[in-house]
Amino acid sequence: MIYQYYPGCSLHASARDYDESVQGVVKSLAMELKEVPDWNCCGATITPSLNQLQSQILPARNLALAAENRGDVVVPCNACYMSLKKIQYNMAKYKVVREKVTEIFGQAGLRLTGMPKVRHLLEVILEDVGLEKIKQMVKKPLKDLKVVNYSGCQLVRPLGFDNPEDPQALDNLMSALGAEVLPFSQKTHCCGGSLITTQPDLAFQMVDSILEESRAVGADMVVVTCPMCQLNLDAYQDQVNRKFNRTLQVPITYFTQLMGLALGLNKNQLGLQRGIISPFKALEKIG
Amino acid sequence: MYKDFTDEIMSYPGGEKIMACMQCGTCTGSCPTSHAMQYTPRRLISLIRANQRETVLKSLDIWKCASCYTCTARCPRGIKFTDIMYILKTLAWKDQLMEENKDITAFYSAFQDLIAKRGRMNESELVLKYSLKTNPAKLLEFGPLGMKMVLKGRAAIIPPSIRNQKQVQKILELAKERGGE
Amino acid sequence: MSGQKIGVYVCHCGSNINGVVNCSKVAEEAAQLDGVVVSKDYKYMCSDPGQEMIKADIKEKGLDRVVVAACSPRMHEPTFRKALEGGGLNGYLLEMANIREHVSWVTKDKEEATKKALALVKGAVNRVKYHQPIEEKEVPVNDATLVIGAGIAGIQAALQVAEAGHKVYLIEKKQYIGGNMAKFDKTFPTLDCAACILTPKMVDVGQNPNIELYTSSEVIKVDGYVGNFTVTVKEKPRYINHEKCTGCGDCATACIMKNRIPHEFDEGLSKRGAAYIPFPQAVPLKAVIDDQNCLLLTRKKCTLACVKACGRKAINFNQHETIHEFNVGSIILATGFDLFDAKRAPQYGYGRYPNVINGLQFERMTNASGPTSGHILLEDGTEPKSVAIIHCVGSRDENYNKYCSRVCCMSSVKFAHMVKDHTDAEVYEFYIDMRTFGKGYEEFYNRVQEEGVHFIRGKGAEVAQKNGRLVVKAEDTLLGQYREIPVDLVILNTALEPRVDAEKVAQTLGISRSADGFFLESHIKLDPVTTTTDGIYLAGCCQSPKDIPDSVAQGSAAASQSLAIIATGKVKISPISASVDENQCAGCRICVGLCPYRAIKLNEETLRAEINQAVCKGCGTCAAACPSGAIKVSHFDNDQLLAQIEGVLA
Ligand SMILES: Cc1cc2nc3c(=O)[nH]c(=O)nc-3n(C[C@H](O)[C@H](O)[C@H](O)COP(=O)(O)OP(=O)(O)OC[C@H]3O[C@@H](n4cnc5c(N)ncnc54)[C@H](O)[C@@H]3O)c2cc1C
Ligand code: SF4
Ligand code: SF4
Repeated sequence: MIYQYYPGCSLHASARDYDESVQGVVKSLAMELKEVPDWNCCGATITPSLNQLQSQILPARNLALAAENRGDVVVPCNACYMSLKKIQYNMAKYKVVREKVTEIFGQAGLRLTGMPKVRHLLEVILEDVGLEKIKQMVKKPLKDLKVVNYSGCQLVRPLGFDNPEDPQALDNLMSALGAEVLPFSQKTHCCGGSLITTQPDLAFQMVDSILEESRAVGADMVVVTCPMCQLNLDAYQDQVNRKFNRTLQVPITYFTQLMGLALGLNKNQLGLQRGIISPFKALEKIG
Repeated sequence: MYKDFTDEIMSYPGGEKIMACMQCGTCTGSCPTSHAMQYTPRRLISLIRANQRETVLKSLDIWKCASCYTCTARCPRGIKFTDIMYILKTLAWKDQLMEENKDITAFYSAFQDLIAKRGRMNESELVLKYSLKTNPAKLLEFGPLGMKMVLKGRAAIIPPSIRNQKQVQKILELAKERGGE
Repeated sequence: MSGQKIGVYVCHCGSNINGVVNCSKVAEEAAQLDGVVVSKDYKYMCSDPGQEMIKADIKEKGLDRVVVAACSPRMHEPTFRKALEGGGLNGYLLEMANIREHVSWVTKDKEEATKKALALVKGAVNRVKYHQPIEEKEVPVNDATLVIGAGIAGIQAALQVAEAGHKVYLIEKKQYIGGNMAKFDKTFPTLDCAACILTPKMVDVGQNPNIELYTSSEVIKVDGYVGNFTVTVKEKPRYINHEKCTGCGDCATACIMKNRIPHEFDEGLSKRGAAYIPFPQAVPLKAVIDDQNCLLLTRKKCTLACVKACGRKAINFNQHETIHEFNVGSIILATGFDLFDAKRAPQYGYGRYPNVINGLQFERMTNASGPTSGHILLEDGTEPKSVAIIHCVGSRDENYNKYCSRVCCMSSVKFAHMVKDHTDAEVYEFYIDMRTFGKGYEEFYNRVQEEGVHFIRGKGAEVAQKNGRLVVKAEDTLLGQYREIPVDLVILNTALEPRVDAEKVAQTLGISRSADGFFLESHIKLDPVTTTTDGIYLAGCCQSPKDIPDSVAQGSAAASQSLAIIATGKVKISPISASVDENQCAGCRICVGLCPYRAIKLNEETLRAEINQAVCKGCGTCAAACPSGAIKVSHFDNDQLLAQIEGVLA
């Protein structure tokens, strides 16, 4: 299957590890990802806070570029996924948005020739490959590895593909890979990613409650689907721990990294060494 | 041009249903940052409906929204409160009504400048710009984390950019001209 | 079609129509139409003077056709037909133009509305010229009544009909009667004990010679029409001989599955075996064998401990499903409600955290014969020190049900009282609006406030677990502050929902459901008991959520509807029906399979379709489908419809 890949800004920088593991995993699954040519930043949560129309036009340009080619748009980042889905929703629902975007596009030499389907990488893997097939492909089950699955916000809200309060997709995938999935009430509680630079006090509390519950239930690691969540929970963990007097570190891994391991890929191809909190000790369990 | 503040909010996508709010407080009760707000999400809706534009737009509370969409997902009346928060922020920005929160908006505008300049975002340059806009001493705070990111190969040394940057600039400018706040 | 004398009457309906449609203009223009001899507009055509006007004009001006432009014919077509008859005309020489629901209520522009009203009037005038007098048929009424569902509403209805001396077939899906009320301990607003007021009625049902009770049974087919329904009922095997069983419970004690299956009647708070007695006051008080869990019935392998234990040899595994057929004159539907499954709103932690329960579980807990013998206990067996009650879970919420479930404010107040009465716990009630509208209800609320319950105005948004304790997150909206309140027990007062099988039941009975999923009444205010199918009535929560007083009232109302047709002895049935022109029928049988009422048969000798006039409801399905155009529906024939369309378009 051919897909169009919209990596989003992080995967080319702070989330290189995610990108590396995505590339490894999709190859094993015989999925072909072609990067949307010349894509731009989706605006995340910033642009919509400053200018409504700019926040529509940015993701819309990406859709216009993607519409030139065939294949669904696959997005590994929760925030980009939501931005792209939201502009689709707004264009379908609001005539003004449709008209303004078309008019501006006309002046800038852009045209939206179709509406490609926007899907999160997790969604694509579960729906197009399927759990059964993945189970058969597992070479090295993640046996004894205790994980909590953190879907975050924008994968499931407001236009996501899974239950917004108690998503199942990631749980099902991790169980299929052989990991032990622990109950986790923080699955979709916000980590405060968009506030971490400007209002760290607020965000640190949010990070801490996620990490605290993962420790309390005895998780070896927190599994994530989004580069923003990863950065927030991983890179800021030391600061958060200092503030709340916690000693235990919890590695934050991408679902694709664990999937890569289970499918028998080499550790070093999966960017695992790039975690600020190293996952290697926890991963010793699976050898 | 707007009858009142409610009318203004209702004219933006996502703002149209605020008259249906029944003041149940599900939004506030679900919000991860409402504990730190002077005006809770539900109360902001009341204030909008009471036409207290300046109180709302000057409030720091609207910048505390984490965009988690929990309020939107749970509102029993289908009000998209996250979108309303975005609308409020854009109006506050347009009218330059934020007094106490210059730091926050400095960060937002640094990000926005960067997209206009390069089409894509990168954290290293963003932090640099933000610190220079506000207080260069901030660089010291970000320093240790930045170093770790560099060592792990997670910081872009050469800033990314796109081929047709002109086009991105153009659509952003046109959007701004259209009064698309 | 000339030489007819048509009267046109345009109703203002107060300002309902006249506020938008220029009624006098419509009347003036209608006066110009061919065949119209009088055309008037009037404030309320349905009023006495309005009807008198029609009668007088028929007599004085010799009218032979009448058009009334007013509201939907659903309510007032019978009214105006009677007016015509009062003036000496056949009621079917009337045509109504609906200029309220179809025009004034849905059109803002006054000119457009007036134009549209006039078009409809023209259509009606054109059509009425082709109307023929039709005689209504009268059929005798069967004096038995079928009641479906034996909750408090169905019991009330059944007893009332039976006590008036008529036969009742009472069909209950469960193995026992009483419905949801049988699970309660106390009932608001007076706190009388549910068993004390319900058990005597249940016993009466069991003993009344006019009531034939079928438990473990369901209606699978309904044929016929008002006065003459034929009902097919399927009775599941119970594997217990009721004549012999005394309800002693020896089999339950012996069953090797004992204490292994969550007990539905206790809402899963206790365990039972595959052979069990539903509850001590059950009617009928007979053992039940659960065929989903009985080892013999599921795996064909068991020591048959129950059979050995039963001294009266009442257990019989050779029982089979039985099919019964009854003839009845009317049907009362009282199937009640299902409770919203709180797992559908995972944010409240139901099924995830211990000590988060729903209202019915709380009812069982407080019930003296319930799983905790009436003690309010946490899972670890201790008493809670603080309790939260959350209103509106699944109600008043676009994500689940938009409607208000109507009883939960009061039952929440009752729960609060029960907690205060049984324990020393602090009680926090999270509500959006307090709706205590019934007789004695506000007084009860007031009393419970004074008992020291904390009423917090703000919907409970989430239940979390922090440091091993439950926490309710909500906004105290009157304070304008976010609050987290730690508690030991959370009671989710969940919505009352239509039964899961409501659609199936609606189809079996040929009735409709409203947007909320409950069964649809004829008129929400003036006819809340009848359905749109004659002879089928609604009672209790199957029509909409309601409390016991209202359920009982509606049960009685439904019973009097049934008694009324029995008393009349005869019912008029709609004479609008289809007929086959033998000369045109090609015998293709298409109509036979399509008729939803199974009214059509192919006469094997003539090879022509034949329609049973008593069964046909005049729906027109066959007429539309007949390839040779051989079927005509009286009062809706082609000439009439085409004339109407021409009139509208003219
Ligand atoms: C937690 C809670 C507490 C409450 N407390 C109070 C209170 O204190 N005071 C008060 O006034 N009200 C109270 N109510 C409301 C009360 O429960 C209802 O008013 C009452 O039960 C309605 O009775 P019903 O006969 O309409 O329905 P139900 O009690 O639901 O009975 C319906 C019966 O029909 C049967 N049935 C269903 N489908 C079929 C079928 N297809 N075929 C045959 N039989 C079928 C069912 O098995 C059941 O026996 C409370 C409700 C709840 C949820
Ligand atoms: S949850 Fe919705 S209805 Fe309730 S107060 Fe918030 S916005 Fe209003
Ligand atoms: S989207 Fe914003 S306002 Fe809504 S709950 Fe999340 S943080 Fe609070």
